[in-house]
Amino acid sequence: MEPESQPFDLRDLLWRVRRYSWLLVLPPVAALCIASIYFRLVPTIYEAYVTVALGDQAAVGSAIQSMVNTDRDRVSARERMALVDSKVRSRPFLMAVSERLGLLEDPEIVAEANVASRRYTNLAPSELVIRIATNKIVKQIRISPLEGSFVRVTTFDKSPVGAQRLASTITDLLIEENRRSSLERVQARGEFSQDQVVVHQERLRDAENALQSYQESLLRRAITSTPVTEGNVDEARSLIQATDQEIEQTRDRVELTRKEWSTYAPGQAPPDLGNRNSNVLEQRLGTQEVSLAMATLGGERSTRDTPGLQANIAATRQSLLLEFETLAATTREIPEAARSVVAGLATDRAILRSLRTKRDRLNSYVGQFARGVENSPRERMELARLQGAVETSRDLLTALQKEAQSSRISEAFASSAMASRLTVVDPPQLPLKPASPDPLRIFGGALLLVPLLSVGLVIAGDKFSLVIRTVEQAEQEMGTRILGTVPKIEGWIQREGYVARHWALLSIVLVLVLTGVFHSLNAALVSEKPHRTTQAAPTRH
Amino acid sequence: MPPSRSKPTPTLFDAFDVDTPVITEVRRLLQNLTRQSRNSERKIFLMTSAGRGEGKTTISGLLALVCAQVFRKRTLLVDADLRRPAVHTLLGLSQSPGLIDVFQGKCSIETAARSTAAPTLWVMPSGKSKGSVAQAYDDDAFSAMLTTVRPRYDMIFVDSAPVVPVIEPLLMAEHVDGILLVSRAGKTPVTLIRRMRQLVAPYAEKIAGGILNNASDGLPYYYDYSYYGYQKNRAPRVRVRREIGEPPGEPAADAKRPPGES
Repeated sequence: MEPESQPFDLRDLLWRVRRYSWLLVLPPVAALCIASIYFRLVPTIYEAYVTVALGDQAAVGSAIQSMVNTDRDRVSARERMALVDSKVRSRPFLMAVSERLGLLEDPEIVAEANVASRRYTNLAPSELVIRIATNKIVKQIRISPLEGSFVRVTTFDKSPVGAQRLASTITDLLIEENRRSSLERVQARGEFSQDQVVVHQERLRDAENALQSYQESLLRRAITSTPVTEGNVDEARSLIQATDQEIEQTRDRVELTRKEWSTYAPGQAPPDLGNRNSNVLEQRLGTQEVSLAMATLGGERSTRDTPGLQANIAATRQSLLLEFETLAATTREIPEAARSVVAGLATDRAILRSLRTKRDRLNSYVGQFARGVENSPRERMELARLQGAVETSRDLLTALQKEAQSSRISEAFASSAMASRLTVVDPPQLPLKPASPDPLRIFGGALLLVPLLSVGLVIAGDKFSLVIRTVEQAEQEMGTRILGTVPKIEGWIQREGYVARHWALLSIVLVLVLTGVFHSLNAALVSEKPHRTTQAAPTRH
Repeated sequence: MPPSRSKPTPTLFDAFDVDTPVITEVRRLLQNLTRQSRNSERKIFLMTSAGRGEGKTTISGLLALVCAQVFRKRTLLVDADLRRPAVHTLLGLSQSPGLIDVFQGKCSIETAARSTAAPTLWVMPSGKSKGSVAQAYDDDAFSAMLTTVRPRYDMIFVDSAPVVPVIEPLLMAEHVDGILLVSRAGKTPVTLIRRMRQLVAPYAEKIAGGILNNASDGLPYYYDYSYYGYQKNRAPRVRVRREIGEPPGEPAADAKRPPGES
């Protein structure tokens, strides 16, 4: 049966911490000693870094942005870092770095490659040298993204000069590589722009031709256009009605005259009078009737001419009557009494034809107007489309011409260092302090974390061990009453040995002594060893 | 045997101080035991535990010393842990003659029960066994020995071996009046105590109670006297010291004869 869970007692916790004070001190002391040994044993590493900015300075115009831009220009910071990382860790790049740093002729690497060539007989020693050198370099490089388009290239080396030299070499190679690829890109863009200019010049020409033909067709239609407009279409329709009524009246009069003629010559058709003069007069009458109608539809200014036109029409009709009377008088077949009837009939017939001409012309104009109204939106849209196509083609052509110009300028820039896509923001500096081992991190961690860990271990061990911890628990497990609790006898040397009683303290002393011995031996060994330079081989340029 | 030049091993007499918390606790324990014994006429107590190293011998010695020194009772401490005897070391005596010698009839009980620096305390060490301890133990002789000493002393404490690994404590339990079970706080496993409880179950009526050792280390802070500040401002010690010139482990010259001895 488990004892009842007790509430947390801070005082008891502090009491236990005090009781196990030596046990609590042991792990931090041991950790500090181990940290000091680690600090002494781990080789010092220097860190140099260079901050580069990635960005396309040879920007593309907005008009052709969607055509020439690729996803590569819209990558995130991490993807930019990945691009640089993949570039830097690529074998050709590392080979170039190794070559510049002279690692391919480094005696140590060559010796290592010779040893390795005995195991890997299928690989040439020169290949092994390259592999060993590139493997060595790749472990000394770290690429990390910064905010925006910045990327940091960090290099590590046992010597500060070596770290700085490696960073500088990587930077130089990156810039050279970038300049070359940038130039290629700009040249490709220029060629693309020139091709596009030719294509779009052709397109613009086609669009302009189409627009011109359409405008001409519209112009032609405008020349032969109807005088009927939205403002006078109703008046035209009422004029047609009035003309129809007049035609009906004239037709009635013709019928009456025809009946009167039948009284003079029953069963015979009235003779058809006409000569050149009468034809001219009849044609004039038709033209005058149409002109009168146009004058009626033409607005205020034309309306002022209407009385004159009406007088002309009346005069022409009178002339026609006189002409037909003359013709009737000269025709023997017509009885004398019927001559005026025949002349009137011929005049009415001529009037009837002139009125029909007028009505047909008006109907034609009204019909044209109706068709124009029906076709107007389509025409406007077509016109707008053609004009838009011309404008777009013209804009695109202008942009392409600018782009071609810009590409030529960019090409000129790219051949220099100005338009580089990669710029060095922070050049590599000579590191003054080693980056690792970091004493603050090592000793700080040992001082802060290990005591907490040891307290946790002591509390956990005290809490979770299945031993007697309370009187109540003892009574329960023994099945009898606890008569007394005997504390530790102060000053009493118990039967347990000194080591058993003071193992924690002795352990601390032992750890301190061993650490001191290690440092003494290490210092002695270091002072005996000749000083070894850790600088890398000089860079070849 | 020439006297050793090395520093003599401190005994329980050196650590005895009536003002210390441990003696206070032992007095309290003995008071409980005396009150309990007053009704049941118990005077022979067997000290045992579940395992070794739980403080049986130390507590036996303290109980006997306090009983003799503070309560002024005639007290006998018998070292019946024949396998790992330690009472003689604790009190600065020689191991022989002792209980085994009594069993084997090599010496009398009076010779084996030796007087100490405390006038009313007698100690019977274990004696030395040349052969098997199991064979050396004589249950009848032990019973006879207890019968002999019972009228001579007010209180008898028998320090025995742990009950789980050894059989003798259970045999001795037949002849004693009460059994005191010792366990060490913060160290004795619960499972071992449960096993001890099973083993002593046949003698349940004789179990006088339990004693929890190492209270200051294994129990909560309120069991530690130093928490109450009684360690720093304590009264001057009253020590029981041997006389100057007397070699350690030998009885005092003026120690009185054990009760009943002619």
